[in-house]
Amino acid sequence: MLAWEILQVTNTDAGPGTSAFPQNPARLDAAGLGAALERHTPILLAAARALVRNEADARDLVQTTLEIATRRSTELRDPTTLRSWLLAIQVREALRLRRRLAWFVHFDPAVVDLGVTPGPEPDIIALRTALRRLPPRARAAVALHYLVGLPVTEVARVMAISENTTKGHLKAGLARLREELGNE
Amino acid sequence: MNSHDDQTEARVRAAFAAELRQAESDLELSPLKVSSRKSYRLAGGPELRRSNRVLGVAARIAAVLAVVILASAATLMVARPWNSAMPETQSPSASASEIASPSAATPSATSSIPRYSDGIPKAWQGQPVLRWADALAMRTTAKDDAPFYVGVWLNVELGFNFGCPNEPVDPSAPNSWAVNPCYGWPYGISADAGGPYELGGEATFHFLQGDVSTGPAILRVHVHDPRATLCGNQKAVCDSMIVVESAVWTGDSYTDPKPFTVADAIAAAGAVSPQTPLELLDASNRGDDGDEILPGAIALTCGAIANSDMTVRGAYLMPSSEAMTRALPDVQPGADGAMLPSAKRDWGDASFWNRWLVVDNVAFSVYVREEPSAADKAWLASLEAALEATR
Repeated sequence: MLAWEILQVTNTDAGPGTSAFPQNPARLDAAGLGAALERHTPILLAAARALVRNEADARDLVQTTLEIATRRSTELRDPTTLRSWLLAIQVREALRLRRRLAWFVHFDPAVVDLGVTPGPEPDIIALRTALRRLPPRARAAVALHYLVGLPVTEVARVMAISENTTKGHLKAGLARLREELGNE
Repeated sequence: MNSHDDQTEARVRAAFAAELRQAESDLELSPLKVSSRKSYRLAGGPELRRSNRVLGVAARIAAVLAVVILASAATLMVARPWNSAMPETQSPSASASEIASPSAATPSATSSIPRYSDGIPKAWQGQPVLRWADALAMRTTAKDDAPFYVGVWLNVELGFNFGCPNEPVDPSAPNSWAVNPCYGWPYGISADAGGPYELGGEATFHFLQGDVSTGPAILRVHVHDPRATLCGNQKAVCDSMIVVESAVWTGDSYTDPKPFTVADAIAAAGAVSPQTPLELLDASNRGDDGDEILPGAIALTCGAIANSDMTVRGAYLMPSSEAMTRALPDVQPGADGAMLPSAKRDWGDASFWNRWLVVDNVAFSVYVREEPSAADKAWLASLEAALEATR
């Protein structure tokens, strides 16, 4: 049974009372895949905004993530891990993007690109600014744990690092955020 | 955790919740776009759109791929993969008007040519072939735009790079040179095989004539290009760039992979993982073994989607064991090394990890359980033994 077939009947990654996937097995096609991915797009975009440093890169990162996920969808053996799988792709791509951009682009960490809707809450702006001052892997760990809600074990799995390293990133990241956000 | 941590954590969670609401709202008003140019709405079948985009990209790189694919097919027949994977070039001793297939260059015919330790000839057409560090120095010492030769290792990436289109050096100058701001995309130059493949703003392929592919090359280049005047306020930047004109030599038997060849790797993988035979990577099978190949390597990938325990998903060949060590410095060779955390390459799914198994100049990309079992270890050892048996 392929992952996308399993998705129809397990679907434990969906929120309470929701069903992201068509119930008719015969209709689980590209549209079904699209719906499954689209449901996770907001969390991917929110995480991407924490991972990279401008709006265009964040959107391109999500796009690339979805592109790869579409291409490799048959590799997902356990559909209940869809969200983690997507985030693993996205984190890897974010770190890869950062490496590629390292020479040419020098972001000012104080610059904040806003979303397309007006007036993001002040806490969002403060958080984005603070996050962008974190080292990339600490930033990724914080975003995955606190934004996405992944447990430490899953963050470690997604980032391909040990749990202890993950905890170290989270501890250091949180301490740095406390300084940046003025919670002393 | 103290109260300050609790307070920070609560604030971070609240801000992230707001961030998620913001993302949902933004996506409602503005569906995803690609590079701010191409609308891409997910609902209703991304597979079709993806196919269209694949075709679009494929059309742009078709010329390069055609050479690579055709030459790659010949590679398998003559078992001299690196050499044959390149466009036809002259041998170092040939006259300018002679064009010889690189596969025709025998060791005896090339053994008398003075070479650097990595096999790149020291001279071309009677002119010295510089190494990369010397070429970089020419940016300041050269007095004119006279061409010279430099021996390097190229990496040419295939596939997509949505977030990073070419950009003019000076956006306000309409005819400014276009460069790609992403690190080493799609062209990368390394001083040594297996080293870091970068351009770093020091070189440009903007005026490249002909095709180039991954592997060794002697490049005809120059600095102080008079077209630097097109670069507007970035004229000085363009003037100091090494301009790659063409590749005049792209390897021979001396720079073919050693000790193991492409044929060796395919045979070994086929012996222990016959359900996923390996083939040379091209546009049609890209992505079957992950999305980031080992730069500078000849890439093999399994023709089928493989996500089972004890499966060879791909293999990468460097010209030498030393080059492989440079490319994967943290991975210990052999089956035992493949069991170590440092050999983890990519997260597969909940059950499997993609790992490296390095044997001399070959790096197999394999799928085994996240916590490898005794059977996994035995299978890794059998793959290593199968490759060793081809010596």
